[in-house]
Amino acid sequence: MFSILGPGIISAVADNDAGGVATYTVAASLYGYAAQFLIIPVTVLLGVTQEVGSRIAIVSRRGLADLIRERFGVKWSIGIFILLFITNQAVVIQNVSGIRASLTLLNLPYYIFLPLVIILIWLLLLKGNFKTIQRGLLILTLFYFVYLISAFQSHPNWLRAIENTFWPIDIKQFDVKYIFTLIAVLGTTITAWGQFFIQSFVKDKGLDVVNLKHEKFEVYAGAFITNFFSFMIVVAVSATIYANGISVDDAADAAHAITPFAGELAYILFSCGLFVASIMGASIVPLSTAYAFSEFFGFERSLDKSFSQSKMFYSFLIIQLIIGLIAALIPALSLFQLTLYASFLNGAILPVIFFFLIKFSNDSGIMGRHVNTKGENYILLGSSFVVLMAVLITTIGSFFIQ
Amino acid sequence: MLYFSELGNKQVRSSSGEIIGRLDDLIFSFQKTPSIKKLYIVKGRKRFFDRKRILDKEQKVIIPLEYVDRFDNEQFILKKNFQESTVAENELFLKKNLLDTQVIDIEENNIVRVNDVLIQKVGRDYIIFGVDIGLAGLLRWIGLEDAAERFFRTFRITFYNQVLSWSDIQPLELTRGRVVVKSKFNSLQSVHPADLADYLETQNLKNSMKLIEGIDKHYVADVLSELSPAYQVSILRRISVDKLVPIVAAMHLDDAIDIIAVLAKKKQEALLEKLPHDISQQITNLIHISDTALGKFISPDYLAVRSTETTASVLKKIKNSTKNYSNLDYIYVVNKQNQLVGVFSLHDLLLQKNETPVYKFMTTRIVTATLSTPLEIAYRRIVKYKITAIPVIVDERQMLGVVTIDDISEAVMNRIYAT
Repeated sequence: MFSILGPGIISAVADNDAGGVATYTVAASLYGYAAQFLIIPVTVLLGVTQEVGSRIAIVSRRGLADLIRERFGVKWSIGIFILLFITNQAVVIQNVSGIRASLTLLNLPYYIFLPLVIILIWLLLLKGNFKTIQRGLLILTLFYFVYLISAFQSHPNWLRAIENTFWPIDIKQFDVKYIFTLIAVLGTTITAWGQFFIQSFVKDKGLDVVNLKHEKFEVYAGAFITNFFSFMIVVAVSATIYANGISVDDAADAAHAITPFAGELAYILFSCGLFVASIMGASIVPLSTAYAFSEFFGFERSLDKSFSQSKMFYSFLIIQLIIGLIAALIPALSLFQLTLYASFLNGAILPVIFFFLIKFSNDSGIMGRHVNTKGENYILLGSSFVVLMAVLITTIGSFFIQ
Repeated sequence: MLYFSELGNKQVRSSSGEIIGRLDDLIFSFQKTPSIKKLYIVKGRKRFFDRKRILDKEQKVIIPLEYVDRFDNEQFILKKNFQESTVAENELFLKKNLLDTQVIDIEENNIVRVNDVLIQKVGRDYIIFGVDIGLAGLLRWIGLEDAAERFFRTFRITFYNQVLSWSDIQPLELTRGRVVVKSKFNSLQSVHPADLADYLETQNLKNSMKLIEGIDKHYVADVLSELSPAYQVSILRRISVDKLVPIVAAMHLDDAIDIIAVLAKKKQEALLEKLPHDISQQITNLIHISDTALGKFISPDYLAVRSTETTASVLKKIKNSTKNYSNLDYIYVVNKQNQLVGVFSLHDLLLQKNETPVYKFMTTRIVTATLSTPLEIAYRRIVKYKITAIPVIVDERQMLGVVTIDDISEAVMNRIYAT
């Protein structure tokens, strides 16, 4: 069963890592159903970006970083890599904090277990192979069914939930904080690392041009599945946490969302789910940084080689994990407090990523006859513009508020 | 050695000073030793996005290299009646086709990227010497190469230039956008020994030793004699006497003496003992004849500067402290430990701008002699490398002084007449 599932679904599902769960939870606890305003266009956009990315990788047999380096040269590569490193680091911190949150929920002292888990991840990356990670990611999907059932059990107002996806009727006025939250939701769904990751993944899988149609179906299916579950998380949170006016400061609060389904079991179930989601995020995001680094700068990239053979590659893995660990060990830091900022950062650099996608996918020198359709270009250009404007408004707006 | 990263984007002007455009790319002929043929100049602003379409754009000029009058750190100046040209069939673009592409290193089974391209002047031609695949090549683009080198040096990490010479690259693949490096060991035999010697000097000693041990003895003999004397010493120190015997036996007598002269006394004796009798006899005789040490010819009249000094400060030093010198043709570059690291001629210096640092234009391939170098050999080196003075160094490359051609010509001549 696993063999027919490919990069499209995996990349999409991996977008719902600990950061994803936390971002949806916090967003919904603040704004209820209105947190999923625009979820339909976002789903389409996720599908389009992933499809364009995988098409570029299939046709050119190059990763996104490969192409940036070959077409734009060293200086651009260094700049983009620094940007990617910072945003990925934020996601890694999200996920390592996610591990900490789940450990706390299980009453385990995190300052002992967190370093152990990080070492475990490190060993997994050093010794494990890609297939293990793939399967783990797919098993992760099962965790989201908990939210699906919880959503139904909490007897939400479905009509209101759906109305809010078209227009945020629950919001009295559009303020800067709301736009900020929307960008964070966007940023956790469509991530910079995900865009680099899907191309590297497709390239490694060696898909051929004949697979284009199959791949297109798969990425759109992946986008739908991911956002279907995001929708359910928001519904479940809205009907429980938001309805009771609880503010989500830690994992224990977040676990309330699945009490309708799991009752007293909720804490354990939630913490296990969060734990797995965090582990996946904390392994795959540093991996994507290291892959991008190797593509950009041509140093050895492979999980099959020993440490001494590919020092640079493994160095970037461990650096990101260690920074994540140090940040997560700060007692005052909570996943649920920082998650919106990390996701916002991811959303904010999307226009840059879209720029490259548009550039490469319209270049007939790279794509041959598989260049973008007009529709895809309008969607990418339009959303870059909207996101750029939203980011500017939020940044300038928050500046004025302070 | 020139780097493309330092050439690109320079302004191109006509002889009357009018700006023609900006150097965007270089066009090279696509053959066994590729040489730069034409400049690809774009007018107006730099376009980041259209590298693949450069040939369709109107605002571009291709000018053959022979119309370049001169170039410096800032600009290229063209000759008066330059003419435009087009790309010929067997020509490729350096930046478009080679820079930033992937290189497959079969021996190490690595995929690496071309971070910079090395260009070397050979006679009147500029040939593509090789590609830089290391960190240094990357940092050079953002002007951090020297800073990084200093940084790593403080942590005692050696910062090697990782260079693949052109002979290791399979050029056929270039047109398809992918470069494949041949397995090094197989391709070596077809490389000219001098080229391989150049290549070895860009490698660290460990790699060089690995290469040397893997190839044919006759071929090693040729390569060793082409190495710069300083590098020769470091390599020879690491080869055991037993391994050295067949190599030296395969050498020309002249070269064999050169090699033996740089060895430590004990190693010399052990080697001579193990060589076939007739060869060792001839060598001993020759060495005996030329057994005059350089000591009495050494002059302390030389100027040594640091590699970070600027042209202006060197000129000032010359004016202030060389008044009493009988002669000054070369300025030597030493590091903190007074070890010789580079050299440049007075002419090199005068061509530079005031603020250019010395390391930018100095040569690091230095021809040297030691106190025990026989007079004839020092003389032969001076003649062979067409220099007028040779620096004399001791053990750890500390500089002692110089021997100028004027000082030893007489002694050599006397000896010729005496025999």
